[in-house]
Amino acid sequence: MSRSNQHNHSGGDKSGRNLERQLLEPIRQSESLIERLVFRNRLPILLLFLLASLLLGYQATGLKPDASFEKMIPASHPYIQNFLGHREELSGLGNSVRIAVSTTDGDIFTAEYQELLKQITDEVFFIPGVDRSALKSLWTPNIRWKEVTEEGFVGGPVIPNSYDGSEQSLEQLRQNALRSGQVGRLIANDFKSSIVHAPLFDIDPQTGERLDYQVFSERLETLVRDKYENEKYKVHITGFAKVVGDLIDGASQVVLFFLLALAITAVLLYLYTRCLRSALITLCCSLLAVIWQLGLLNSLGYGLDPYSMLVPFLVFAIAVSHGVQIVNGITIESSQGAEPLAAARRTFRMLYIPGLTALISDAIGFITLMVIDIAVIQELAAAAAIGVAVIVLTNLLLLPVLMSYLPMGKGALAHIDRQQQRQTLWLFLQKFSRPRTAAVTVVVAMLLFAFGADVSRNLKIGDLDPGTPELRPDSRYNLDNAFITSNYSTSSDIFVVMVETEDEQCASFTNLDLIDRFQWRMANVDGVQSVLTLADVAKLTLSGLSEGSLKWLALSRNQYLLNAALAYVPQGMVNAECNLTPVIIFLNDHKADTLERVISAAEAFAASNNSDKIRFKLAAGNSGIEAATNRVIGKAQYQMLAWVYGVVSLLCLLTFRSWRTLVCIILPLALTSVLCQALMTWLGIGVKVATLPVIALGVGIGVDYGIYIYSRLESYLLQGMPLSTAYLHTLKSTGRAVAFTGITLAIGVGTWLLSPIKFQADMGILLTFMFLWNMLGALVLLPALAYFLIRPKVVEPLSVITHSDYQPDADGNKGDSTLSNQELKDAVQ
Amino acid sequence: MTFFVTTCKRPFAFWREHSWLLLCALVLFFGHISNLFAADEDRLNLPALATKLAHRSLLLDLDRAGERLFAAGERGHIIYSEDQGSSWQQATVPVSSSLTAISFVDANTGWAVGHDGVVLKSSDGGGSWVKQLDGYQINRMVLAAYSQQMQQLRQQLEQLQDQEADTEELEITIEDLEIVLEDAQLAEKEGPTKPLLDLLFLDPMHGWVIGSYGLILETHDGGSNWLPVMTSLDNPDGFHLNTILRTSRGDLLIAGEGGVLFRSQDEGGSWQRLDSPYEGSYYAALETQPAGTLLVVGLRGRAFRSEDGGDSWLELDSATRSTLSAALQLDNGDLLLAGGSGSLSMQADSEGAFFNYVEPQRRGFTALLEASNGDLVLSGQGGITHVKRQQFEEAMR
Repeated sequence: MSRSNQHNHSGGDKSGRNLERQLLEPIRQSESLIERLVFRNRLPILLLFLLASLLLGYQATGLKPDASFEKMIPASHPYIQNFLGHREELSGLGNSVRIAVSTTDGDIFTAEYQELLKQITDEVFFIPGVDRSALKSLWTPNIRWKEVTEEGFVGGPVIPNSYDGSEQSLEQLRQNALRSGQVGRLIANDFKSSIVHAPLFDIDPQTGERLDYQVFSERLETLVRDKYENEKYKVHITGFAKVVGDLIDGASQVVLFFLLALAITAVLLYLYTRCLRSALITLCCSLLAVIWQLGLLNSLGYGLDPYSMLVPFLVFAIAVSHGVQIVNGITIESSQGAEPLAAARRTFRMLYIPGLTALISDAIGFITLMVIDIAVIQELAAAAAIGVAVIVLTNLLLLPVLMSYLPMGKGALAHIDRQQQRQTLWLFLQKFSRPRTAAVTVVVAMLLFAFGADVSRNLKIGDLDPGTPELRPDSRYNLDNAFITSNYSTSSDIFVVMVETEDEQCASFTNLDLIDRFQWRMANVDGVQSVLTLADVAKLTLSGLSEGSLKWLALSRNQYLLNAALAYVPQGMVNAECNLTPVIIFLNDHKADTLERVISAAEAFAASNNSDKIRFKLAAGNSGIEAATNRVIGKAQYQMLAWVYGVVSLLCLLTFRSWRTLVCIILPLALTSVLCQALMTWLGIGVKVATLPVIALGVGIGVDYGIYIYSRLESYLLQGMPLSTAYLHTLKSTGRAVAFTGITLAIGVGTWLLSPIKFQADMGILLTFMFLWNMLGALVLLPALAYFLIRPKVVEPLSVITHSDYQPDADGNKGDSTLSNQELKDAVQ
Repeated sequence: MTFFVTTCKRPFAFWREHSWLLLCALVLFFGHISNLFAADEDRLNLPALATKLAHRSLLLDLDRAGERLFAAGERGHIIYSEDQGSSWQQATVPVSSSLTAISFVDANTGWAVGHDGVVLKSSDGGGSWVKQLDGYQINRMVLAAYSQQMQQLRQQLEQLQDQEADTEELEITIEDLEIVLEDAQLAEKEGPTKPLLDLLFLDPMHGWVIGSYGLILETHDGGSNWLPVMTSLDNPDGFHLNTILRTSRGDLLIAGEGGVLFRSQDEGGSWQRLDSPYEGSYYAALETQPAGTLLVVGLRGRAFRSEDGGDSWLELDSATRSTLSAALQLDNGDLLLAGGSGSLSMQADSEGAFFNYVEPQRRGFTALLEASNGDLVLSGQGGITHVKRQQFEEAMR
């Protein structure tokens, strides 16, 4: 396309251009207004910032770590609606902790072990939050043995009344334990450990207070584990309360990672600027952005959950990278002899609009996450958007104002001169804009793209590791969990189908029989370990009523018998109105395929058997909730990609008004996204609540690099330079900042690799990869694509945004090249 | 479709032009099929689900037909093994009620009974089964039999009254029958609540099914027609009849709840209630070598032996307190008793002591069988347990 063609076409583009002007006009106008306002009232502005910082800093101290279960699930999914509708009635089922006390020497039938178990039982009994009447262990009176005799049942407590620790009473205890039916439940199959099972009150019936999981978990650690564990006896604790406690505990370590990221960034900043003062001020302004963000979160009523803990890191890194741009600008101005105030003012004028645009594109990238119907992701999006907004104030406004008081150090000025002259790296990178290297690069990129796409076909939805996926597979909790699942007849992956009947009809023969049939259907699904229903309870009691004969282990049609059989139903199997009973399905694992098989079998059965008398409703239990989450995420995955790429593409089109440019900027991002998915497949990380936002964050922030590089490249091309010369100039000016930005961002999230929380580590590794690879894509693939797509003579006119970046300032310091730039633009418009 | 293919040059033209008809036909067809499933949700009419898990589900009885081994259990499961118990296939069964007993009279002909009063028969060596009888029919049959009996008694009473004879005895009988009749009426309203628990066929025609609350039915035509014969047993409390056995002498023996023992020495023509050494329930009966020795076992590890056809009994120490529900004499004469909580008791020598072994998972056993290769097959809560003879001997020594 030649420039004359462009003229011919400009009529058709007019409306678009007008729209663009309308959109950008306010920003442009606000620039001079704000510049005057800010730089003429520097002291009041600083005072205002000080006050705001004190206020928000105070607010930030009130922010609490928080791991709300409800926020991690897709609250409006029908499964979750069903679950939340019955949550209170099902509460007896889930919320409990199991404490397995194991011996490394012999079995549990020793006086020493029993004494220890007794002490631990007593200890747990007195921990607030424990439902004492339902506490179970060999040492609680509710664990009894029973036996059928000619006269009926006989039984007694498992611990003999005459227990004195002697060989004889221990033998009695062993026999009682065997006939108590607790092997596999409270007593390990190998008799080397036994369990203290403590159901919990979500809300304390006496004080009415909600159970504080963190405090409870801490008490278990200090009062049970620390106190009683030794060389010979080990303590293993599992349960939702413990998971939450460990999560919050682990999340608190994030502070350490933040300090680490801070230290590394500080060193890098100093190496970059070689000026302690400006490095410190940049660091402080960026920290201020984080403090403001946290303060605002607290004032807006948000907590800090393990997901949104990522946001301060991002905010800090983005703030630093923008700070670097400002400091870079001021240093260059100063090296050309400007006074601090003039240098700061000019830099502000120069960077206000591109900075704002870049931040807006970040924010839009984050906001696309709002389409996902999971509260933690939405809060993460909100928190990130708030953070980015704050950066506008702290690093685009406050930083230049502060810098205007300080002259640049001599070392900094000398350093920047040296940097401008050092060329080795830039000459190497320049090659990517030359024919042969460009061709090779594009071919390699295409191959990588195909490779990535091929590998990521095996990308899985959901969590893939056994145990509790929030924590690392080798975490204490997951080891404990593995210990209990392998030594007891139990599974930690539970899928619950809720059966609703008419009032008082939960135990009618017709309903129980249908539930029994459903149970068998589900037991036949691949991946199902076992199924527990009210029908089992009824059958067991019916058999018990018939002298324990297994021939009577079947549902009786005699309703009186059934009612009698269900007089003593375990907690949680039936609600008070007898119109709800859960079907508890124990699974081998929680892989997405397993869950999908369970769901489709259950839904098929429900579809053909639901009536106004009985309804099978999915789903509760950790696996039921995970299944719903997987479904939402499976759908949202593509929705989100469409949104984020759609919005970013639109933004690029609006800015550069050329599809060729769009391709140059978007293709490297797309390659990164595909490779990120391949990396996930390779590392065995599934698409889940934690990793879903990563691609949106990566693309939203990654597009900055492309915009910076391309806009600068375009400006040089417009000056008539050949591509490779223009690219070398681009590298020397913006390339340096982009490389620095990529590295700071990567470090900011890279420290997360150390997190004890599995999903934080996953997010860390993926974001680090995306930030680095996006930077590489912008520095390497973008010029190669530009070689094929953009020729100096077909370059389209600069948009207002990119142009203003290089608009000569009032003093006309920029010299000839920018004037010709101005001329070009005028000629086109 | 064959019709169109052979007679029309454009076989599908009609359907193409009237494709809506096809649609209607399809809708009707599938509507009908789904109705078939939805119409009757009673487990007596629901075929047992084909499943890979049948051999691991609760199995309640074992038997042999020729070289095939059979097991029956919950949810209408009947499985058979062609390789002496190593691998099992599922038979086609028209009900999904729990089956409590299975027995073959020859290599082809066998019956299975279970909950809901179901009686199934196979004439093809156990591959497929048809329902011969269910609890609804039994209820009606029992009610009809008692009503008819009542009618006869009332007529007798009228005759006696006409003759002005003494009617006191007959009136008492009528009063007793009235109670039984009321129960039968009630039972009909309740539905098929009474499980059948065991069966015995002397030949392909003549046999009995027995069950809960004293239920006993007799057939003389291979199960086409059944007759309730409760009144011929002296079982006024309606104790469950748990097991039925034919001895080598030709006697029939029934053992049941509350220690009841009945014997018939005329192929069921009349039944005699025996003096029982025990008041708890018996679950299994067995004739052991030397011929004529009877053994009954039951609740709390009780085991009794009789050398005189059941007139007198001697208690054995089974070395367990678990309820015994199966007894078997191996080819080498060892006696094996199995029961609740995975308990296995063995007596190696007929006068020696029993030795007890408990299966580690403590899942109850329900039946025992010795395969023709000497391996041991057990059924129970964990389904089939197949033990090589050598392994078994090692475990028991």
